[in-house]
Amino acid sequence: MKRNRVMLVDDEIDIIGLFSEVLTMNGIYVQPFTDPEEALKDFEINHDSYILVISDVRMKPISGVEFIKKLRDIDSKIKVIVMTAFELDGNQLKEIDTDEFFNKPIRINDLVQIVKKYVG
Amino acid sequence: MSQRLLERRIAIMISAIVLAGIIFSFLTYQYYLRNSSEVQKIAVEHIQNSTLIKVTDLSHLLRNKLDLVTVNLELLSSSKELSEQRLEIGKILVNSAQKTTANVVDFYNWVDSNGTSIWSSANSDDITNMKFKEFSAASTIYFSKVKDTQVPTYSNTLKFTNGQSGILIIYPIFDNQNRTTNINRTNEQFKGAILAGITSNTLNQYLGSQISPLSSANISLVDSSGLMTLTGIAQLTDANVFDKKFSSLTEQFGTSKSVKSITEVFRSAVSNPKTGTTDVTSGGKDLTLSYAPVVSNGIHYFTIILILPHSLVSSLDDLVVQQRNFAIAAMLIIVLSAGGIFFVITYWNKGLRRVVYIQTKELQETTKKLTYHDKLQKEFIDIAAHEFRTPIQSVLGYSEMIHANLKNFDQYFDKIIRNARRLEKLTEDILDVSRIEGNNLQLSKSNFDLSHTIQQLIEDHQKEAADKNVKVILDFKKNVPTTIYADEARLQQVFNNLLSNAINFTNNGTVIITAYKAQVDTNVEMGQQDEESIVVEIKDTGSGINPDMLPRLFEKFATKSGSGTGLGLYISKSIVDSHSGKIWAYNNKDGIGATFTFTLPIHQKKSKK
Repeated sequence: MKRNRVMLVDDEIDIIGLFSEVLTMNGIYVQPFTDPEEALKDFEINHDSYILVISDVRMKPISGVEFIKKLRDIDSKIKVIVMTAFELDGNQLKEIDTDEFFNKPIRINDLVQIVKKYVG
Repeated sequence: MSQRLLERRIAIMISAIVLAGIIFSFLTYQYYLRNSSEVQKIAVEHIQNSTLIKVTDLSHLLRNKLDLVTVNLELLSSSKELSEQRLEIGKILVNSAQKTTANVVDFYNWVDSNGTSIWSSANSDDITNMKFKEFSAASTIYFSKVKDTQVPTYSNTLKFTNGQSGILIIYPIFDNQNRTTNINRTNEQFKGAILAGITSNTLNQYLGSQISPLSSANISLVDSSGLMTLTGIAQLTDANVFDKKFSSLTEQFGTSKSVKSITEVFRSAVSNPKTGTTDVTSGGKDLTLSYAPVVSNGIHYFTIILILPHSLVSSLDDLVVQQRNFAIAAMLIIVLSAGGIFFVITYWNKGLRRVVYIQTKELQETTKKLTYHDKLQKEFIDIAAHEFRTPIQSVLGYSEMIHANLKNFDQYFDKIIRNARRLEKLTEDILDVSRIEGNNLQLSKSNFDLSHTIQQLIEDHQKEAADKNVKVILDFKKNVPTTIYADEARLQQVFNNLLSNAINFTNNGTVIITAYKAQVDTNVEMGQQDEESIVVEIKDTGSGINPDMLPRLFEKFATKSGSGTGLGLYISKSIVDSHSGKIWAYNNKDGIGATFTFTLPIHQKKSKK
């Protein structure tokens, strides 16, 4: 199986919808999730197909930090981009083990650019 | 320390003090008890000693006096004058003998061989005449004895009618001229006798004068037969110590509890003429009896008995008891006081602890409230941020999407996008304002290349500038350090704001950005100080600033341009102020455009984590 899928995780359904369409329109295979637990379950099974995970940092029932940690436990090779609409200071950022980080709202062009960096 | 532990310790201390107090009281009691018995012993010894000394002294005195009497009698009895019956000289001798022993002897009587008085030293004294008569009567017997025995004779205690008693000492007078070696003298040689008469009264006066105020002392003079010659105890007058009745007389004082009774002591003192002292308890009182014999010339005339009660001792004992009681009372008071103090301290302590506890609780409550409030504030900003940004993302995103795919609706979506962008800007500005108002504008300082940052920003505004035919020039002076320590993001915000404004307000012109190092006043609370700073000037050739606006330029919602929020300069000023710098603006001297300047001190405080 080819590693070409991008996992999208955010509890805001509008955001998920937007980003999915944007990326899909740019020829990227996207798998959206609003529930991080569901996302984890899927990742456990299909982690081989994922090349990138884009996740919000503040979620329920598990936090973004926990979520990413678990992802890396399953597959250490996975690339992770974290996004947020919240205020994050430098210290909090250090705690999150992420390859890339952006603030919401983000221009869709910028989004595509960032994702393309990892997907190719 | 926990409450219970402290209480237990206090209880232990109190118990220890009480116990110590009891032990000390007990020890003090014992000490005083021993002390009092020691004192008693010493006092009693003292009394015994003094009584003994006194009685010895008295016996010596009396003995000396009696010795003198004896000497007188010897001299007189062996004198030629008396044996030859030379009257005149004899009288003188008799009188002078009386003078020498006047305080003991009442009279000397010179009698002839028939017993008739030739001369008496008492002739001159009327008072003694009475005694003399009685003496004379009594002396007859003894005269006969002397005549027969030819040796000196001593009488027992004689009783007189006036209640007094007395003794007689008779010495025979012999004619020694015709003395033969024969020891037995014949009657022819008996020329008479000389006698000395001593009354109990005289003795009493004499002894009384010697005894000096030992007020409770009691002198008794007992002769060798046991007869009371002289006594201070009324019941014992004229009694005989060897009499059976004597014991009952002494028992009148009270029953004797000691080993020896008064009677026994008297009897043994008289029977065994020696000096001594014994203690006797009679009728509850302790008495010291000291006795000494009066022996003159081998004759045991009297025994002096001195009786001294231990009244001093008992009063001394009382004192000691008083002291003891006082000491114990003092001890008890100290113990009670200590106990009292400790209870007070414990009570206080409890009270204090209560107060401290309450106050601590209150403080904790207040602290909790304050931190909670702070936390709420921060949370608000957090949430507000999220809430604003999320729908904005949608609006922007979707709008951009549509814009990208359906160019027909360019104009509509242009507006949507523009407004959405404006909303985006407003959001960030409102949040910034909120931070500034709540003193939550936290700078995140780092080292960065200022020149690089400015160039980047100029590039970002390239299109915007080009659209308005505005040329942007950067004049970065050499003396500016390559890296500066400040909040990069925030400074970018300031640059952006100022550059945007410059471009917005200029058409077909230039914007010159100049940066250099200089010594300028800093915006420090303590006062103006010169500090090494970077100065950035943004000069445009635009429409300039409305003179009415100039004073309130950096306040909230001062200027309202088409795309601006009216908060940009206010926020820029806050950022510059936070860096201890200054920001100001003026219209250019040549009348074209305006210049905005801000300073940034090179030495920045390290940002708090």
